[in-house]
Amino acid sequence: MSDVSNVSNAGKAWQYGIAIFILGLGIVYGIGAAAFPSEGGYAGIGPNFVPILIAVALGVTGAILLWQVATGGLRNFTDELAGVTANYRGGLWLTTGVLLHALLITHIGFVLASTLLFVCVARGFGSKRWWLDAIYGTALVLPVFWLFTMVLDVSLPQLFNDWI
Amino acid sequence: MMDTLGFLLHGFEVALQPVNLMWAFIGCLLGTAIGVLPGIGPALTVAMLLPVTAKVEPTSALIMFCGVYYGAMFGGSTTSILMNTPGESASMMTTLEGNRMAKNGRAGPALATAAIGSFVAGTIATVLLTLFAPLVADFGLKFGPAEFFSLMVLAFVTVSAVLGASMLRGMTSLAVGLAIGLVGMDNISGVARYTLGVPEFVDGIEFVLVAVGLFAVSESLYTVLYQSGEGDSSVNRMGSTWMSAEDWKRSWPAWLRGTAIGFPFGSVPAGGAEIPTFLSYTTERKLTRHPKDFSTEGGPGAIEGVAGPEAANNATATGAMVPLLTLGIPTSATAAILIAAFQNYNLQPGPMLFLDNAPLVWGLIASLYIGNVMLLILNLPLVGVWARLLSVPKPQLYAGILVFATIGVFSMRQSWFDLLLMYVIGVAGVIMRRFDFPVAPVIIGMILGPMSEKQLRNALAIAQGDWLVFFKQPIAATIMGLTFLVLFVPIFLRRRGVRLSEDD
Amino acid sequence: MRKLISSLFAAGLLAAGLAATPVLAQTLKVMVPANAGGGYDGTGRILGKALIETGAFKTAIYENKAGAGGTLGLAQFANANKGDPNALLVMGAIMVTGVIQANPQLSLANVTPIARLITEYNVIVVRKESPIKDMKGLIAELKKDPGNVKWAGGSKGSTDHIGIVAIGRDAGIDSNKINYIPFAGGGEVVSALLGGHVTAATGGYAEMLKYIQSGQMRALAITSPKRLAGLNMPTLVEQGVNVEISNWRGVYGAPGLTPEQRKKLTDQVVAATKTKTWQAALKENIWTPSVITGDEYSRFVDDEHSRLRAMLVKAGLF
Repeated sequence: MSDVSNVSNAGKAWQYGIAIFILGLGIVYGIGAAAFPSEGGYAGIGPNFVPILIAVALGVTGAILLWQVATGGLRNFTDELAGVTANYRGGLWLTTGVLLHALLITHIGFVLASTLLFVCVARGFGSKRWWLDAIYGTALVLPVFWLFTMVLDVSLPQLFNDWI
Repeated sequence: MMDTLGFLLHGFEVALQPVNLMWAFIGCLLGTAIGVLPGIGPALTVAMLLPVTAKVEPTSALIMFCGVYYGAMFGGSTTSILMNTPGESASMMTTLEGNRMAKNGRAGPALATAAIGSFVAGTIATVLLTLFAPLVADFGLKFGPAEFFSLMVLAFVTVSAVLGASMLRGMTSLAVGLAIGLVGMDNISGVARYTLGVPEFVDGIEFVLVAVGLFAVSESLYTVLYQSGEGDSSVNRMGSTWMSAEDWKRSWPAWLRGTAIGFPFGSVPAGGAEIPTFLSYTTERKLTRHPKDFSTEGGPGAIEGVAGPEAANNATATGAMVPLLTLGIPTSATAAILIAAFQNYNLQPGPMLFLDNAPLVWGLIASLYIGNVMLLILNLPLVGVWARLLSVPKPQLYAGILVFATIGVFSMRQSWFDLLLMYVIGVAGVIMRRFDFPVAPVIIGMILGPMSEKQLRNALAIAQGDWLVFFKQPIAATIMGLTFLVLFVPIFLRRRGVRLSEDD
Repeated sequence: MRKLISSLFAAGLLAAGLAATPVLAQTLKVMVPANAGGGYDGTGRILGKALIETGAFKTAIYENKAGAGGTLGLAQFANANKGDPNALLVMGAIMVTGVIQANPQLSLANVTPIARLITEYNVIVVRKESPIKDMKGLIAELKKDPGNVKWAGGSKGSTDHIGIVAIGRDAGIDSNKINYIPFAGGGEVVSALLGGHVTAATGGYAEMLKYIQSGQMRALAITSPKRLAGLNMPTLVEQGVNVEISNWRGVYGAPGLTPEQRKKLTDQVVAATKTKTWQAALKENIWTPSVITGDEYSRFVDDEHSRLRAMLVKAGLF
């Protein structure tokens, strides 16, 4: 337990963030559990019993994490990505794809929204030819869509009746 | 005994008719295709095909349904291995080693051991079903809430095998999973807990959503953020597509142990398919001679960690036929739909079925054997095709994974809220990966938490608040004893100076 | 890239294989807010079969979502099927008590009433190995040590539960002395009873029928006011327990149906109750047909809401 990790300042801030989040979650769960009834009849334990246990578990792990971070950082952890610059542009493309898909799926239908997602994600990973990706995406999505709507009868949002 | 054999031979005669073989093939094909899509399980598929019962004779229809059931189980492991996306809770453990193997160019052996393991487990379990069904059924009924809760405690204790480099961070993940599992309405009292007034949370947070978010979405995000620049454009090095002699040697015992764990679990009413896969994985993790291969140790993926859970999964599926055929109690959604299929033919599953409709029952059991063989024949050639899928360039591969992931999540209840939640969980997963918090314990906590709470409260109510009930009833006490062995034997051995293969 | 194409080709082959199966249209979606194998489940699946027999639908999907008196299934149904005229939710008295108790964000006001279908009576059963032979024996045990008589049934506050509490009150046992173990579905109740984990169980006659017929369970009493025709089973009243438990079941449609859609679906359901499938099921399960629709049905559900609420308060459950 001696290998205290060397982390960048940004990494340190994240570690504090995680520890505080877990500790806070424990407190919030504890407050929530206090509001649940404790009456459990013959069982002796009510709907608040297990939540209290879990709140305590979160609180304890959060507190130990906080102590670790404050005394040099997470143990048994080497930050392999300390010097790596994250490809935020790629992450943004992927995020855009997922969010657009979620927002548009009920409006432009399943096939178009999924193809759009495909193109955005491929772009995020550095693909240059979006039109080719659009073709791949459609070729992947259409059979699935037909399988769902025609064979399995799971209804998916559509732009045109049963086809796209 | 001779009767059994005679009936079974007659059953084979029925099941081996060309037309029934065709139905078995269609069932396996359809099941495999369905199983590959996350979120769409065998229960839905069998339900969709139920109208077939109006046109086809009982034996043929049931043979096809069994094919779908097995096929879908196997298809689920394919996505776990190739896309790191468990399609159902029972294939979660397969992702841990299976996907790690795929990343290291060993997708072929991982898929092969899953396919052959499923076959071996399915066949052995069917033999056990043939010989001991009524006996096993009586034993299964002995499992009440107290026994189930003891099993859950055992599962929780053995969970340490998946905690990874740091016990503390593993426990944190587990606690977060338990906390997620609490969201929604309490099954016993009807009290809504931690729903924040959001209607989408009233029915709890779906397993598929969290699994897809933590595995598929977070992996895609992590890769694009931190690994998109390096190396060749394809993620996975191609290796051999076939199992080596070493792979066989390591898989065999794992298949057998997985079967031994899975079959009894399946035959216990309301046992579920998750716990046997957890237990099988942790068993392999403890018994292995190659601890450094395991993904939790940062290794290249251990084949026994795929072979065991996959065998356990399939043996559980077959075991579920025991209470179904002998007592008429469905232990899984698919089994319940099979009961509906029986009822469409005015057959009532239960003890009378073996007496009144022996040819049908034995035809069905024979078709289980044939379904297993069919699945193997169908899937072994596909292993190469699936493994080649990984040579797709990174942009298109991850785009495809995300498209499949969103299909699964969205088709569950057609909610864009779920898609947003999936993304948020994906981001949380990236942070967890970045700081080496393991993701598997989250899912395990989420599955085991609600189950164990319910069993604990019902067991205590039955025992009128006596906590010692878990040590007073023979089966529960045996399981608890086993739990203490698992907990304390390693500590004892270590104190005596015996070094175990793993080192915390 | 050739490899990608070959993989796509493989996927195409699979798709072609799937396309060879019959193309299905007009699918009915039935939400069963309980585990498979229980009473709601049977009602839903037989209604689905009857609707297919009328030709209104070609096929039906059944979804089981158990828990919290059926309100978990209600929430999922309301969330997933907005405006879908081909979706039905199986519900009944158990759902109403579930809503009263849980007071969920999504209640029956969020979905569209279609029709009440049947009324069913509960049975009180023990497993065949039990030393208890009749209701008198069970009541004697209850009076001796109320905590030691473990009753299995549907979720807390369900008609099953209310009925058991009423039996206890009749015997002079306070409701909080009754040891009632709630299970999520009929299948779990059955295995808990057959395994000897509980003393007695209650449930709809249809659920328990096959286990009674096969001799795995012994029926102590039926909860109807009078003996049912063709069924040699004593009532509670006959055995000195002045309690009746009746349990109705019906269906609701998706949220936000137009009046036309509601009428069409109602007509389809009513037509289904005239089919051979439905009539045969009524006979087999000893269900009493009790079809009402439209505003009459809405009013009935409102009345039940007040009546059951009062019973829950009286039983000290709410």
